[in-house]
Amino acid sequence: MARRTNHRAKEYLVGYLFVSPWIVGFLAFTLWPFLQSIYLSFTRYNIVAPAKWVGAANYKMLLTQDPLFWHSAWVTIKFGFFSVPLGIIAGVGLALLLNSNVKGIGVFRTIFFLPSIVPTVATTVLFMWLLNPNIGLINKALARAGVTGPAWLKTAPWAFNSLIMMSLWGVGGSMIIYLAGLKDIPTGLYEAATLDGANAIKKLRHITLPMMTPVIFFNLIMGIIGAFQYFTQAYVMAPTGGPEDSTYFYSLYLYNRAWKYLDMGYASAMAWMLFLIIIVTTGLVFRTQKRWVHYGG
Amino acid sequence: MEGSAVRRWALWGAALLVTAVVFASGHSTPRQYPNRKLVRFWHRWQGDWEKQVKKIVDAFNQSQDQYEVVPVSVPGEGADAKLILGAIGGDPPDLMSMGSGAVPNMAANGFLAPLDTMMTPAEKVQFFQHSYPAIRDIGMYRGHCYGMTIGADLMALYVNAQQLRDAGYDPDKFPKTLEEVEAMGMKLNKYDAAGHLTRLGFLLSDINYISHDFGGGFYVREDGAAELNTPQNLRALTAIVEYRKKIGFENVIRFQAGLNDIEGAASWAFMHGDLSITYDGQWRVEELRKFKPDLDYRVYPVPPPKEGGTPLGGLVGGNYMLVPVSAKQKEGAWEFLKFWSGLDNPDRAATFYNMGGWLPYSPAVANSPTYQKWLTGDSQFRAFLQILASPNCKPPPAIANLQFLDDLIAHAEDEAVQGAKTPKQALDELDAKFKEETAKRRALGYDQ
Amino acid sequence: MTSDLRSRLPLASRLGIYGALVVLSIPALLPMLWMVSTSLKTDTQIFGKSDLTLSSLLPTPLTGHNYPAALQNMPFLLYLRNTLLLCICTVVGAVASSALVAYGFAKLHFPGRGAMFGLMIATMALPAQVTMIPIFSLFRSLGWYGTYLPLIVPSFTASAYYVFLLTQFFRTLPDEMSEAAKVDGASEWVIFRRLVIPLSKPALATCALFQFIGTWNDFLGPLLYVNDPAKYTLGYGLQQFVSHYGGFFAQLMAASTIFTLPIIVLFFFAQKTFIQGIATTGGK
Repeated sequence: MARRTNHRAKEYLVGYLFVSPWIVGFLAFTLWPFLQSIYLSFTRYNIVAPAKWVGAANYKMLLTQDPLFWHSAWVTIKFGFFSVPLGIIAGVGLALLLNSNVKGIGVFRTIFFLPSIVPTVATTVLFMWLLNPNIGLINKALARAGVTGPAWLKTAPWAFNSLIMMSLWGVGGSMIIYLAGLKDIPTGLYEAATLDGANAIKKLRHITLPMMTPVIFFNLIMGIIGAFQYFTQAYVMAPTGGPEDSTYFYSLYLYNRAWKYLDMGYASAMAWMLFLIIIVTTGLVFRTQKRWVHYGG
Repeated sequence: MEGSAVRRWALWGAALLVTAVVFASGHSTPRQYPNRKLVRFWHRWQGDWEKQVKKIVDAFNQSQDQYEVVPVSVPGEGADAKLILGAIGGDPPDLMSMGSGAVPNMAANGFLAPLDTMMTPAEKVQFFQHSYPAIRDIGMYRGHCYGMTIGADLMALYVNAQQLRDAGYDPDKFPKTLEEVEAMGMKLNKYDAAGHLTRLGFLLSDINYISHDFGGGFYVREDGAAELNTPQNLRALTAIVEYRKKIGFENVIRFQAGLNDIEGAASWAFMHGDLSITYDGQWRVEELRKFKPDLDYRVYPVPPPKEGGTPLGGLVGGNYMLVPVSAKQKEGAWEFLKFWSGLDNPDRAATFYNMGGWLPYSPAVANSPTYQKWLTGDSQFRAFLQILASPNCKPPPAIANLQFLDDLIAHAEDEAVQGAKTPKQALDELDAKFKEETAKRRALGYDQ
Repeated sequence: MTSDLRSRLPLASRLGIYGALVVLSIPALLPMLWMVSTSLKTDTQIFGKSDLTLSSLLPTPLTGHNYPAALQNMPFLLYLRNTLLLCICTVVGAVASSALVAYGFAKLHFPGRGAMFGLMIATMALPAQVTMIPIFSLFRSLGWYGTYLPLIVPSFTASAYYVFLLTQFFRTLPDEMSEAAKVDGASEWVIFRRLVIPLSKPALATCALFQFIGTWNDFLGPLLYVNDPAKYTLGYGLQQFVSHYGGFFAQLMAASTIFTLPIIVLFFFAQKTFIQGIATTGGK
């Protein structure tokens, strides 16, 4: 009996040892800032003066007196709703394509990876150039087809749609993860399937995609978290929220509250609201894991 | 096995590297004058402008032997965060340049050192009585001076002389009323076959500034009462919107989006003849001299409307030099500030203002021989000095919440010029939102 | 062990694949092409209105002078050295620590494992804006302000992103494999080092690549914690070309291109590690 529990204890210890770097990091660098930030959300804090406790006032105002809160949340949710599935489909599709065993595939992989490493400042100007309403490439092409393209970045619905389109350019990062996932699938499975007479589509449906569900799951979660916190591109394109606030994302509003208006207490409350929403959403997605994610082990 | 031996070496190598970096990150920039007292100056100018700042710093360092100013250019987006964090972290720079909106907020919270306590009586007279009122007032909060500017900004009309001549106007006889300018602008517009604008004659914009030409402006009094939704402001916003209606909201938006107006000197659309008459800042004069010296242009203050206008109205903004209250070398910072702004020696400082095409803080500088000489080469700058000296040139309201107000104003204008709201609705909303926000802040314990 | 034994695809599918690749490459290449072509122009060439056609992608005449000018305006070698130092340290730290932690979550059992994993994921859900000040104060009170330590040390404590990614990969490794090894008397550490790591090269290489790029591009970190110009990095240096008060746009593009090239080269040659698949038959 004693040996059993001893063995168990040793097993647990090894587990903790392996996870210890994260535990140390969490206790040293994460826990305290998180606690402080929760505290700040219950204060009025303009950074240059000490924080003063105000109870739940920030949260109350956020929920009942701030139409911009609801608006920016809606903009963000809309964005996630479209960009996350699009991103996954594009990423998986590209990875499948780039997994082909043809000559020169390495060059193509590099090409598709490029957009995600070109500095933001360059891509921003590029898109302003492309989407120029009168003489940009896109509207010129549309004009040939007899359609008058809109003023992409400066009119209400189109600015938002442009951002969704632009998010696709960043698909190179997730594509690499899918590629790594694809490479992990033992070729033996495919050979066995060929022997059984399966065609390409069957292989895709019954081997490739199921074996890829762990990384798809990963990108789904990270995509959701990323979409809820979407900030950089919106900030660079339109730091004040875009035409008629159509691109006023939640994180952009948070940033403005925090650093522009120096209303850090309020911004902290916003951050923790977002935290709750993300936790709930990802928690739900985690629950569905058992149903569709297939771990080989 | 080969592989694992190589790996072991790599691991050790990496470990050594880590140790080396962690303990040897003491590679620092050497001091030029190591025996002097160090004055740390953080600013936000980059590129060519950073070079100008360095020249000014060098001139100061060479002019005396007590202090050494070391400038650090803090680039781009995180600049505000870094400046604020550095200051509250207890290790602030001795002098920092921030946008004018920061002054009331920081001063109200006891964050900045009052500069007037470091002035001699003579300097106090110079500053309080002889500077341009608007510039002086921006740096003041509740009676004390917390910031001085060496880089105030003002806007006026830039006019392309050749394009005016081609349309039959005399660029040296500029109209005296806003309505005439608008009529001129309509004649200068050019369109392509599809009816899209290819050249914009004139466009009135930026209600925050323009309102001052209509006798209006966005003010907040010390007790928190706001004067935002005034008849004058409504007239100004209506003028902006009506003019756009004549050309067509969508048309203007499309044209503006296509102006490639990226923040960078060589991209200014006026330089390429895409705008005949445009409203822009005084720093463009120096830029034009550098990048397009052959452009024949004029600068005029915006003429007031026929009725109820105030001539030479304007809103001053810009960069202000602040000294954090916990700075270690306040005296050195103040000496440098005096040197650069010309409080004690206007003529010497004139050179510095000219380097960046900045507005001088007082007529003493503007009238100094060096400055006057520069003006003969950049004569178009005179219009700005005219506006600066007028009583209708005003500072923005000294409230902690200035950024929020500015954003609200810009938002109101955006809604009105997109046609989403009428000017009255936009201003009503602006007023309501600001009142709401002020009430919120009061409830939270801020005083404005 | 690459698989030359794989049969070549039939011509039709190969053509189809190449076709799709070429068509999709055009939008993918656009940012890079545009950046490079702009860097080869003079500033006045860039913004003439007639300039917005496809043919403007190939400027005539080509001006190369922006590249030496950009290099002159930035102490390139110094920044490069600093950046490489940071990159190597953070990559080693991130991959090593994340692999360890991921193995613990994926394969080992201990009380609180699920809760800890959930907590770890949760830490990614809070926007960094609001923890910036507390974290800054923390590093200040540790005395790390002005050094590289705030940029390096946290990478040794495993990032949630990489741990999550690696956990997904490790969980696909069959338990039978480690059970067999345990029967032979191997400890978890040995299993980890000799079985799991070699089998996970693509995932580990992905993490290394991402961390390298992350550190390479990092601008906010050096901005907040580094005051001495001798310690600046390339990411920081690039920002100095992005000026609100009159920058030279072509030079900025030249600087951006110089900044991006090493990553491209790194990726192109490091691809092989992603490709190094496990060409075994049946189970692993």
